[in-house]
Amino acid sequence: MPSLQSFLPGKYRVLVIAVAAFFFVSVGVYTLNYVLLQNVERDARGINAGGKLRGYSQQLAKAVLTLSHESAAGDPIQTSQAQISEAYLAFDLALAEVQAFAAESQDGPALELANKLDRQWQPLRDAAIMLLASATPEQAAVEAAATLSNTRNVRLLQLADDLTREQERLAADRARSMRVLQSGAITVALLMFAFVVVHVARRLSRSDREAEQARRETTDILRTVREGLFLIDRNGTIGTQRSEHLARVFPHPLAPGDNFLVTLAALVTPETMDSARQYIGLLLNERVKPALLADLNPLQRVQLGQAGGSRAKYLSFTFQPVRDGARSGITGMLVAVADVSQEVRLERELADAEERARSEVALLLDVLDKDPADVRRFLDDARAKLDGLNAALRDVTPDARAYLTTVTKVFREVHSIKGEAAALAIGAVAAQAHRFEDELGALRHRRTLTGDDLIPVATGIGHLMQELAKIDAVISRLAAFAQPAADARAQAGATHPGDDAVLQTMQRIQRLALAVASDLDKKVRIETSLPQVGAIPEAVHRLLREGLPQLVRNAVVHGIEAVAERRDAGKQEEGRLRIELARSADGGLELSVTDDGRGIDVHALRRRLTEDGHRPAAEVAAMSDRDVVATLFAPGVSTAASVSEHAGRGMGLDVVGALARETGARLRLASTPRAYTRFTLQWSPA
Amino acid sequence: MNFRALNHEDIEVFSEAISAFFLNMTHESAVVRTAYLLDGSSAPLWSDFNGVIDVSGGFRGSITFSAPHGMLSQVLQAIGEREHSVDRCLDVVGEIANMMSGRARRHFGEELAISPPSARLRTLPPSVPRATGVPFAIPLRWRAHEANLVVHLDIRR
Repeated sequence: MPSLQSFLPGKYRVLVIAVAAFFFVSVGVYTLNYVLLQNVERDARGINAGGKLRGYSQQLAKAVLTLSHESAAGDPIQTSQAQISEAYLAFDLALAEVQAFAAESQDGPALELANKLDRQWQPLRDAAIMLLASATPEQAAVEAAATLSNTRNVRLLQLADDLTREQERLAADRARSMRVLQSGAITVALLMFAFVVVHVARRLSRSDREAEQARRETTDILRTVREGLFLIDRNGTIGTQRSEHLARVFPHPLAPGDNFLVTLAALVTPETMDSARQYIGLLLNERVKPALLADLNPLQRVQLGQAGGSRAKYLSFTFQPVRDGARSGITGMLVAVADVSQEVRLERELADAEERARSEVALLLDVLDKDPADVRRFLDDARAKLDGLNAALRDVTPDARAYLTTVTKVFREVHSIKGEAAALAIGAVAAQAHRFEDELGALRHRRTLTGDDLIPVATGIGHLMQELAKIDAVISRLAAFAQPAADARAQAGATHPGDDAVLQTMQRIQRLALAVASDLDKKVRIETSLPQVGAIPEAVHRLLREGLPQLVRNAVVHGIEAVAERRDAGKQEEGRLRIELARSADGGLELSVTDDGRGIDVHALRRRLTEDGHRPAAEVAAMSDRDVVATLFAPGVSTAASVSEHAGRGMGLDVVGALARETGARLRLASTPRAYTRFTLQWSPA
Repeated sequence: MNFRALNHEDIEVFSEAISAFFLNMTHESAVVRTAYLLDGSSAPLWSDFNGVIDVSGGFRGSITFSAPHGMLSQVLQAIGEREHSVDRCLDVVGEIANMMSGRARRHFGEELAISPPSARLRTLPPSVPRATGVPFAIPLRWRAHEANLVVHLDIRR
């Protein structure tokens, strides 16, 4: 059986005891009052009985006297006898009462007075009985009774008066005692009531102070803690208390009563949200140990979707089940949110720094592998192109057509830079150019362009310049190391053997072709024919540097088939790509690139022209095969199914066409479906 | 400290702020004419009136709106101002700088520390650039006038 202590909570125990005591005291006072009131009533009856003795004594004396007169006069005495009988019986009863009261009161004087009354009464009672014994009592007996009555009556009256006074004194004493007792009891009750009130007030005051202190401490904690803290119930409904830091961490206001999961769903991906719901469901499951779930938290580091393209924000959420008591079930969860964006950024900065260091090393190795003159020329050319593009951007006429022309020009030059970078195996520049092409491609497909659309073009040029600057920095550092040795050689009169620029260009092109083929899982054999052609003009050099990579890439991507396709077509698995540079009989130069691939499918090309929206179907239908093939040299036309780093932009042949025009070359194309394609560039003798 | 190159979104924040200012105040849009890089050979774009915000924190550099007196006079006229004094023109570029500042804070977040926008006359030389990246120039046309937005900003990765 639980004890009272365990039954009553500590802070209520004293209060309950005090109230119980107050109740018992109140009951005691009431009981005492009841008893005392009975005593008062008894005292009243005693006093009344004393008064009755006086009356009955008088009545008896009067009746005896009357009987004496009647007897002497010979009158009938029955009435007097009846009065005597009534008076003495009544006196007996009253005396018995008085004696009983005296006995109850245990009061000595009262008992003595009662006894005296009895002693005085008995002779008179006997005389009265004698007067009643006969219808005609003797005159002498009557006289004797009258005499006795006269004398005893006075004494009885005196004794009755004394007794009444004694009883009144007793009653007064008792009433005084009763008042004292009542006053005491009421005082005790009031004291107890006051104790209860004071105790309760103090308790309440202390509770208020404790509650206020707890509230203040809670507020201080919630105001100071550097985490977003709040409570949710099992349904995800947010509680009323939260730390101030929450508003700084969480991008949306979390009002009490809102559903946290609904708010969160607007900020994270649907996949993350699904995982989060499952995770929270597991946390609320009593049978699953939270320790086992620690690593499963999908919100441990989550990126929030932010409007307006501002910097990414990463938050870390942790969930702690909340219970009402140690043995009760989970009622909700304490959610702690921290902004870990800085941490993530620092990690990324570190990773970026490492990546940059790696890429710089890779860049260094790339550059070391190349002819410094080639790399320097590439950098100078690329920079010059980008400067030219920047100038074109600056001076562009503000109308949609001019914007489109500029964007197309930028696309062509960037594609050219990409081709050269790939030929030199400078992957960082090629990749940056490829990303830039993505943006330019999207712009070229816009219905109309505005000045705002040139902002990404300018930033794209900036990014490419930055990549070039990195290579420049690497070369400058290498040059700084190499300078003393070069100076020493110069002093020793050593001469640097002149490189065969054409040969080196061809070697680069071969490497590019093999790399592209490898990326596309194709096999290709490259044949080069470079007879002694003598001095080569710079214009041809430029085309070899900038245009040949495009032609070779085009041949490998579009011409040479995949191994399986070649096998099915009855060809050797290994495709053949032949590059020839020769001097013609008239002294001019001729460059040809031939592949034994699938050739040009004019029907497929017609279809692409229509499907990709380059030309209306009717216009394409009216075009000759020659005109259709000629569109390959227009910007944006490609037969590739999708855009990759190597193909799909439709800019490679556009670049070649532009270079041919700029260098004064005649460009010819010959192709047989499923057999070969040959591009030939011819320069007249200078 | 590592800084990343500017993206077009970073620049559009400011050009859109300027466009919004013109549209709200004059009910006529200011349109971006083009965008280009201000290389070393270009003259600094520092016009009659210049509203400048300098930034720090995870950022380094400044954003400048430079406008000729004629443009600002017409802006004041368009918004019903009778007084076209130098002070009022400075107020306009200051207000534009203020608007750019607000948008920048929303775009770049709490890490961006922005000095109070300042309005400067051509006679005051531009402050020495603190950013190391290439500045971008965005010429904007409003009516027949051309102003320039120059974003010269390094953003920490």
